[in-house]
Amino acid sequence: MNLKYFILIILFQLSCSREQVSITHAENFRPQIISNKTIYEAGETISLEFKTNGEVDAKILLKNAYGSSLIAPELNNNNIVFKVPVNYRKKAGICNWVLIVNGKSVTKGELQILPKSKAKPTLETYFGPRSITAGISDYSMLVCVTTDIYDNVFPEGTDVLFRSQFLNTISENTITSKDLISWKNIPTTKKAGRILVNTSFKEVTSSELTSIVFPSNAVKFMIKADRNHNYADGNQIIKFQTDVILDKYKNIVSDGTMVNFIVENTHGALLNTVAPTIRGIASASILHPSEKDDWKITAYVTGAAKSNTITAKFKTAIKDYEVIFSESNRSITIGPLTSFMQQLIPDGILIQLEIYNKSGKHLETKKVSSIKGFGHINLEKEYHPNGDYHLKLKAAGIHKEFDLTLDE
Amino acid sequence: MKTIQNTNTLLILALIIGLAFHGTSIFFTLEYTYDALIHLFFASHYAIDWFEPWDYHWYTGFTVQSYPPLIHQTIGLLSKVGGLKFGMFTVAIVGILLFITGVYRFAAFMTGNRRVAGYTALLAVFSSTFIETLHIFGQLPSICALSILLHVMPEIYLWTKTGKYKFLVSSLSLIAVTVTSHHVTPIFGMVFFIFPLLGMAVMDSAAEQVNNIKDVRFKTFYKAFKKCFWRIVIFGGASLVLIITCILPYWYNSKKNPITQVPIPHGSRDNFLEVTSSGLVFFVIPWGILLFILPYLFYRFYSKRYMFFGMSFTMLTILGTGGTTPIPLKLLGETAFNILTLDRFTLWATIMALPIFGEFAYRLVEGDLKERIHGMFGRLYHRILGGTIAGGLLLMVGFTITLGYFRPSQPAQIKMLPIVNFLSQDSHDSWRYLPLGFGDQMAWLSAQTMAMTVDGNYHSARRLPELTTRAIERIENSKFRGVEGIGSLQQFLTVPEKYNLKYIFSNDKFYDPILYFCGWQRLQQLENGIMVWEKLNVPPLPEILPKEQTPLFLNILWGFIPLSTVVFAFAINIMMLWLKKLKLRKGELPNFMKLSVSYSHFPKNLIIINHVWAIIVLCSLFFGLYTFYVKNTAQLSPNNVVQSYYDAIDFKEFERAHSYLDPNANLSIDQYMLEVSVTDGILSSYAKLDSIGIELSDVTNLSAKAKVSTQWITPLEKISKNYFHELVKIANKWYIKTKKKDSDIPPDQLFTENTTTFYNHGRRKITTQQTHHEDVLKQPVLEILSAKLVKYNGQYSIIGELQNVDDVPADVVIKATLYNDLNKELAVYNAKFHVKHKLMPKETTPFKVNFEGIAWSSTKDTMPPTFNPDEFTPIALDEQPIKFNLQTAGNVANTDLYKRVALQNLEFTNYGINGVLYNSGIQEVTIPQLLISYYNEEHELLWVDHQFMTEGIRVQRKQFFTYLPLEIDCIKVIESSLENCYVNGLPNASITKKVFPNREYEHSHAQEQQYNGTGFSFIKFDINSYIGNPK
Repeated sequence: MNLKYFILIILFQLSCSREQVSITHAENFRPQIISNKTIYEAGETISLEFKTNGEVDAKILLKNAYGSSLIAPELNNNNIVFKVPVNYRKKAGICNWVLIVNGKSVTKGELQILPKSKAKPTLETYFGPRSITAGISDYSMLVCVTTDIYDNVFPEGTDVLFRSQFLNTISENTITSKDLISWKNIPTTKKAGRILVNTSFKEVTSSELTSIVFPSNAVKFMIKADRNHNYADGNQIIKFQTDVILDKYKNIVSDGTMVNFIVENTHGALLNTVAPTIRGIASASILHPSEKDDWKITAYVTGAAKSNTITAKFKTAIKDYEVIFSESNRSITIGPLTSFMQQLIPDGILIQLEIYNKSGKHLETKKVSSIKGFGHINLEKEYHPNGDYHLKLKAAGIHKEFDLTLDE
Repeated sequence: MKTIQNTNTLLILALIIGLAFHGTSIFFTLEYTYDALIHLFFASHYAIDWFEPWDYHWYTGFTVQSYPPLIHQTIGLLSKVGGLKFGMFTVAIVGILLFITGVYRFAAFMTGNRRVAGYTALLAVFSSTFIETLHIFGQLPSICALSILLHVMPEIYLWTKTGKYKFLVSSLSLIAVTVTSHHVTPIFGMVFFIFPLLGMAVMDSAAEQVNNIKDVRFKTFYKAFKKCFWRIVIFGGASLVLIITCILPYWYNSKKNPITQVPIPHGSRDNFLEVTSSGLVFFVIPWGILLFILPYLFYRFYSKRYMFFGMSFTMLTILGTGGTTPIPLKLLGETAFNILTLDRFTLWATIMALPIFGEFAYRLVEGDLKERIHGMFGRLYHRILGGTIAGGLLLMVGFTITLGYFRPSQPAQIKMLPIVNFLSQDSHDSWRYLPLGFGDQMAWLSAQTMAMTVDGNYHSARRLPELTTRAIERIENSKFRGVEGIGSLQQFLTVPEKYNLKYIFSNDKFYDPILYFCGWQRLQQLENGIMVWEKLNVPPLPEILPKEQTPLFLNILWGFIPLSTVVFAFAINIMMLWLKKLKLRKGELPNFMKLSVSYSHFPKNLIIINHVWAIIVLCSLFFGLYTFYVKNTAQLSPNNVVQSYYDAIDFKEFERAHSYLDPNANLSIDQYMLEVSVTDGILSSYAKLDSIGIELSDVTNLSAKAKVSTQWITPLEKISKNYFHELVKIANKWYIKTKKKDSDIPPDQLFTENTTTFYNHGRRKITTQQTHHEDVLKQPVLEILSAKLVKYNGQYSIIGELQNVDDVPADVVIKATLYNDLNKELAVYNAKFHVKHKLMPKETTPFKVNFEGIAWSSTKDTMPPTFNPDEFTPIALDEQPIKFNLQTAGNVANTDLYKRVALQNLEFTNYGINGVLYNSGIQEVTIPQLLISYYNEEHELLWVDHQFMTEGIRVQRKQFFTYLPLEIDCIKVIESSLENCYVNGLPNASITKKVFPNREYEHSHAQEQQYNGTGFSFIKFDINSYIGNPK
């Protein structure tokens, strides 16, 4: 950058030196400024006129917040006039000048340029964060910067009108700018919803800005279970549903809030099913167990809220079943598997056969699913050579054990 | 003999046929070749900025001074006339003309017989090696350089023999063009073509001394050599200078950026007897019909005049056999063997053999061989033999040129316009992109867009250690390169912000699961069917990107010299020729034309030997075909039927698979297809069969049992699975007996479900400016519930749990940094598979960050030979990590929020935890993933593990799993602290205080399953579901 300025100054000097200016050799020559005006409005024409006794080698150095420039004069009846360039005239604030004659600064002064208050101002408005939580502590901040057409910020103490709307209330506040900005914290509300705000200054208003007030964390809620029958047939669906989950300000929690339904069965295993809420209600489903069971169900919005615990008891659907071995013991037929009304159970009940050798070592678990009430398992010779085996059969929570010998 | 001005009709015929045949067929083949589009991309670089060597499009920037530029610059220049492809095809056509004329001149000088040279030119048009190089490999620079090398050979010969400076100038001018086209050709050309050529020139000089070549003895030869010595030295020195100066920037770059790339496997280095496909492509096709006349070739090459060519030809032939014999490895040494693609040796050998083949054809058609055969076997046999050879030649031509059609080496042509448009819209090119499954067409995409990719298609120019340490050609086709491929891809997918990588264009759904589990999300499907994936929280590329400066004079040399060499060579060789013609001076016959031999008395023994040889070749061919038949005929043996069945399953040819099933089982094709169509999951949809082992037992004449051990490669993990089959033989064919399918039926025929879905507008205001601040959503707030640095099995990990505490769904990115006790940064990595990347409001997830090093960077030599995608290379840390920093970022997510999989049952057995998952929602889950958290008695997290399930879960169905809990008593918690944890740049503590001041920690504890494990007391299962086809 410095180099750039250096080059500019050199260029200026070159361009100046081409003018045929006869130089007055006066060591203590001090040109007098003619105009006394020091306060201008941005955009106004500014010229600085000095009284001289003829032609002098004079330049003026202008300096404002943007930077510095050397300006050459124009002659006007033995006086020299410096016209301040437009970029210096547009920038509000202090503009310093130094008059340089024969390469020496001889006099200096300053101009005060004010923002152009008469023309239509512009507003820069920001509002954020865009979403906050209902309650008492959270807030969004509304910030406004008022500027004139040249992007000069209006001076400290400018009053800006802040408006905000929530439900039926519209509030208005006049905020005085400090350190170039006007700002206000718009506090959250206990009710969830949407806060709309805008700002206005003189005849200009900003566009509408929004912050969403999301509900706060959920509080204790209730759940219920819904099912067709209470038999453990492994094929019906049990549905868990919460009532409308609210936060402590009675807002319905935001859509999509995750609810974990934890099911504890009689074996102490924790099963789970999850659901996001819609209008505060989460409903999740899971299959009936395939054996007699007592379930304890509790739902959580983890860290925030817990439901009551409900229980669901499942009665045995399949009381017993037959197991038929083929002559060689290699083909096993399980069934018929009948349910609570003696109907054949729907296809797909899991039948597990754990195979142990005679010393009790687990060899393999075979899993089949029932078709039309029956399950078939074959013990192939390749994998289970002739010998003594111990079998544990498990279906619908009914365990049966057999010792058998496979030969052929 | 006629004067040289007479036009050779055979040559004209060859040129016409060559142009008609190759000139038209390149339009159907060239774009599908391996290399052509790469050269097109380089050309596009020069078309945009001729003098700038740095290209940002590939590999986060590379220099085009890593490849000789002539062909690229020519295409780039021609692209200004009619586009890049016009340039490419024009250069290809010029290459074809140069090749045919080059071969003609080469043959003319070798044999001194224009008739033979004409035959050679005609055979060159149909040479399978040329067809393969042009139409399958698309090696344009190589073809052009080789053709010019053939042109230069008579000039060098004449210089050496006559010492006239005009020949030196013309030969050097052509050498310069060769050098700027392709650097390998002149270097190896010197060894294999020009050395024997010089030898032959000396030999001919010697022969002139004694009048007959047969009388040349070593002494005469030495005398002649002394005479030619300085000519050879002058030529050699000048060529060396040209090789160095013409592509000086190339050498400068090679010195400055030595190739650090680890060797990339290439088919030409295979053992052709083991890998028959490589044998076909790199041996059988290039040799083609020449294989049958090998004895004749060697007989002629080892005649005294051609002796040096004979030695060179032998060397080339041996080197071209790749890994079949250990000789090439020993000759070239380990390094050169692994860098060079050995197919070029075969190419040169077959080109070198062309004049002798031409001579053979001449003698067979109208020479002494014809008469000899007439005499020995009669006229009919001669005709049959001629017909057979011609037929064989045409068969090879047809086979070679259609190979790319029947066995495409590239994915189907992709319409690039939608991708190009996508990249130029909405500042999408402010990030890097990555194409997946594009094949070599990725180069064509790069040539058309300003956007940059981390991948690239010229591996010698790579700079990222993530790529140079992997033996992969491109990340884009990483699935074909096994562990290195997928491993390399995973690094880019896990830490995309390191490369400003935001968009992935997927043309292969194989990669979908890995993208999902690395935290990418589907953005949209373009109209050409390409799926666009995006990653949130990736910063755009900086305005100014780093580049390597090269001295200005090198860039200017690079820009000017290549085309100048062409202009110079043109002026010298063609203009002089024209001038000569204009002066109407009768041209003097070139020196070598006087040395033609008269073809008479074709040796009888040679005919017999060659016949025997041809019969041996034919027998090997038939034997090969027979073995192929026996191995591949599906139902010939129990082994075959199982192999074929799994092959069919692997390639998703279900009708074929069904044809191997027991016809007596009454499983109709409809039923079978139906059963196949309803199975989904990583095994059936995303797996490639890697290896198969078949153990047969109980084999009788009519039945057998098979235990099939399969290894499947999936984008996520390697899966081993054993299957058992019963086989039967019915009517001389073996079949597989069918098995019963799971008979489970879902409870409801029709059911309803309400879901919460989300939509994010992105920009509401349509503007090219920066997104309006009102349209920027707040980043969802996350809270880190726990974080620990642990050491398990010698590997450092950061584990923890976090929750989305905001009211909108969040996409989660977790970045962890390790420090030593002096706060020196040791390693940075992101969470990969061990986290649910998408969280609903108030949902929690465990996470684990593993610190992966750049795989095998230190153990190059012991690279595992087999494929294992989930192979993990722990980072090598010099110092002990003591502290860590965790940066998490949330971004609003609105896709992949399916959470409807329930844990239906759990059972604790001695051999693991058996569980059942149940899909209660309305989307089919393709790959369910279990995230398993381990806790101690105080409910403190100790470890996080994961398990992918091999089968998907259909709607309202169950899926069984078995999980074997780990023994984690050796785990060591190094640090447990939330102090240096940040969310969206804010300290985690401030979030805890503000958003969740009254957290109930009991809730989490109540969701943990008590379990008496080794080293832990509680365990928890989280489920993450990948949906392959969201509805």
